Amino acid sequence: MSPRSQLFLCLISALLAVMMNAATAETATEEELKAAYLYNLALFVQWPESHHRETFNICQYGADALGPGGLALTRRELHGRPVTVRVVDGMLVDDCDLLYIPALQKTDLQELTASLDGVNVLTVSDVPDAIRLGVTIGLLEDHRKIVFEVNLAAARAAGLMIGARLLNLAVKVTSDP
Amino acid sequence: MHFFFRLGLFPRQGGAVTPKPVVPPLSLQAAFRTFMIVSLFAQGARLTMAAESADELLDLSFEQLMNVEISAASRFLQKISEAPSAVSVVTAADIKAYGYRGLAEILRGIRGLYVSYDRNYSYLGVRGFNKPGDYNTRVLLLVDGHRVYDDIYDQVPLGSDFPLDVDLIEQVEYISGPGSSIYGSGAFLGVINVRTRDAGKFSHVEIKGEAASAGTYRGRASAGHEFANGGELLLSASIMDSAGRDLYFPEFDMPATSNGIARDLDQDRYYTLFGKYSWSGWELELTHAERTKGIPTASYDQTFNDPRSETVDGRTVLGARYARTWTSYDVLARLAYMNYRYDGLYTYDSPPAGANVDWARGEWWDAEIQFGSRAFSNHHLIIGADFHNNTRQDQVSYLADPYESYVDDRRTSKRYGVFAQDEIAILPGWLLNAGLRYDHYDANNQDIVNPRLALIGQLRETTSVKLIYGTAFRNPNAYEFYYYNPAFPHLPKLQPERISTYEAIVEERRPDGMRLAASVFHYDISDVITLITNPVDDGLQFVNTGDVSTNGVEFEVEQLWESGMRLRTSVSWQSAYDRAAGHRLVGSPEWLAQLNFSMPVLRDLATAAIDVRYMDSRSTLAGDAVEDHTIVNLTLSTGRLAHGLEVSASVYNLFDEEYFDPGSEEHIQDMIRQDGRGLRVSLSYRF
Repeated sequence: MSPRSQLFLCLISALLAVMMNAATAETATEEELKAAYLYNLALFVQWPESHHRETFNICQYGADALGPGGLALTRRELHGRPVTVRVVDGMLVDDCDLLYIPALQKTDLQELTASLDGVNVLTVSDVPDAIRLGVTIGLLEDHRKIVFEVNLAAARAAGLMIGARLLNLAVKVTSDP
Repeated sequence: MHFFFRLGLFPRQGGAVTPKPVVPPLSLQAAFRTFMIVSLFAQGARLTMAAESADELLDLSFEQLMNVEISAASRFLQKISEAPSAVSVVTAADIKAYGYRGLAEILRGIRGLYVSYDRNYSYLGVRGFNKPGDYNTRVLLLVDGHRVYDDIYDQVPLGSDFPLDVDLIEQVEYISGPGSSIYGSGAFLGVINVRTRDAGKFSHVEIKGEAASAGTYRGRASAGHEFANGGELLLSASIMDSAGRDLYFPEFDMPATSNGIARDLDQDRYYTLFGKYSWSGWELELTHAERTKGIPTASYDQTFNDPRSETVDGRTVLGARYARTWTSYDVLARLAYMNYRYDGLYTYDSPPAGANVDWARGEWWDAEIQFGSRAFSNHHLIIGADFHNNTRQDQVSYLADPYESYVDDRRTSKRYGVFAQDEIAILPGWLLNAGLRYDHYDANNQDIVNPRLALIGQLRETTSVKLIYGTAFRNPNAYEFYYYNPAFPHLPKLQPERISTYEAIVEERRPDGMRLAASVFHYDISDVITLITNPVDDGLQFVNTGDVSTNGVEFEVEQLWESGMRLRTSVSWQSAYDRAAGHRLVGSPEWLAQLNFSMPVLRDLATAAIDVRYMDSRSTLAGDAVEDHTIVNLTLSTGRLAHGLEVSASVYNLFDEEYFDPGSEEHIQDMIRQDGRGLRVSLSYRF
């Protein structure tokens, strides 16, 4: 075997080793990206003036779907307030500023969003067709990138102002109730 | 795709067969040692990676987060505004909205590109460069990272011979400019990067039926499935049958040659099969396709209106790919086996009478690995290597009866390349992208080095500027080397074609949804490989001849409105000058313009789209010129209606514009008429 082929074989096996380790690795790419989305979305939404709280509370409905991304969020500030991230269940969502409903939760979105009527909370979900079910911002996966849709009627119901910059970047904006 | 031209000029000859190398036992020990060492290293590195990445992501601006991730310009995922080239993207939504029927039509909508069709194969012109008779050898076509071409003609299939149904395309990116510093030979003028759709897009089963003018019917069935382990499977099969119209060629308008009418000869049939399984960064793919095209033009001095004349092109691609991105590292590995089958039947009445059978068989595999690192601050380093083993490169041409062999050339070859690229943040907002690649070809014992240098500056939040210098080469292919070669040993050996390019690009992405791009370029192409008639013995021969200089300007505007309306329009001017001939390059249009506009209609239930293309006049081989033309296409397509039904209707060449593409050496026709008005209706149903 020529030295060149040997080198090639070594390179291939090196790669194989990297890949085998990678396959068992706990990766958090999607979680981190979604966390970054929540942060950026919250930056460009205005909550009502009367809405005072010490911390900016990001709640995940049912289960943790942000992983290390959530941890990174807690080192940040949003609207001048330190961010907290926690998992909530049932009706304990009153002190949430942002409620993230991960797709992995088999939640009845329509029921949940109806129960939030009048609460100043930004609802974000990656459940398919979330904005049709009363969620303000729906996250969609589009070929390895994340895009989002906005339901203005839901934002209005929650007393939130969605920034023009967000509306420009959204792939779809509806105002259907 | 050829021929054999000027019968009788080829001497009888034996095949030049390269003996197969004997494979020695593998050096497993060395491989195992490497495996263990890298394994340990990877374990250690992994622990430190996860924590910092989330923080880095939070530091990106929203636009950066959203920016289209581009997968080919620098090989790894990269944002378009930072790609060291001008990049154009056509998505699945565009393909549907504009009713694109094939890859050629998709590319036609991209600035600076145009396509000529000789009623057998489609040929891509890039920035004014595509002489009549050139194959598609100067662009690289990647489908999910795998090169789709063949190892004999290096021809990229763009017409109905493209082995993938357009409905399976998620995105086509065209990366303008030479890519040899990363991809090696072939990426001479640009790279076409096709991504197929994810299986998730075809949940359950989808069937589609289509009827169009010229007796054209197409059907497709696709099924997708997501497994519990997160794996996704997509299977799809398509079939197309087009009877074709009767075509009139004035050059043959004589009673003896059916008054110039080629009856039932423009037929086009194909089937394609596609399967893809992806799981956790892995992707396994199988593509298999075969296309049969009648030849209505009586190319290569065939008998006019002979129904037997046809070409068959078949391809199989079996590929595996693994890609993974961590915070500081990227890894990509790829392995593919491909084969190509070409069978041409060329028919002759006059002596030597009968049929000339021209066939080629190609078989090859390639492997590629890449490693990217962001571990050093201000650097994004990519190193990679690839290896191609052409295990079969057979070309045969013979007269069937009485048997007489013209070409019988069977061989194998290998090539490999290594490259490195570094993207350096030299100043805030400024990136320097420097790449270098070395290639070796054993067929002609050629060593080539190609650099690329790009300076990318973010002038303001919305404006970026790119200054790019690059070189590329194209090694002669097996067809150019050997099809005619044995007959003319006295000629000098073919050398690679070379190009150097200089380009400046300014891009502006405004928050109001407008994108503007302008580009100025200068290309110098030397040693262009051209088919000539050798004066010594009056035979055909490929030689390095001619230098071409191209200057050009492109301008593009894209606007998205909140209502869902979308406009993209571009104008390009280029002057390709053939320095040896002392005039503009034959077949090169000076002006090109494109306009695409789509808007939601019928309360967002459907999309109406108009697609307009203008092409300037082009000179022909006989010294004449085809007129300039404007083609308008209209498409109305619905979203998902009740019960998973989608409907689409298109009118192509709405105003029935009569237009021509220049003919090549093998055609009697100096100009070849293109299609007039055509209709297409399609229905798809999702269960």
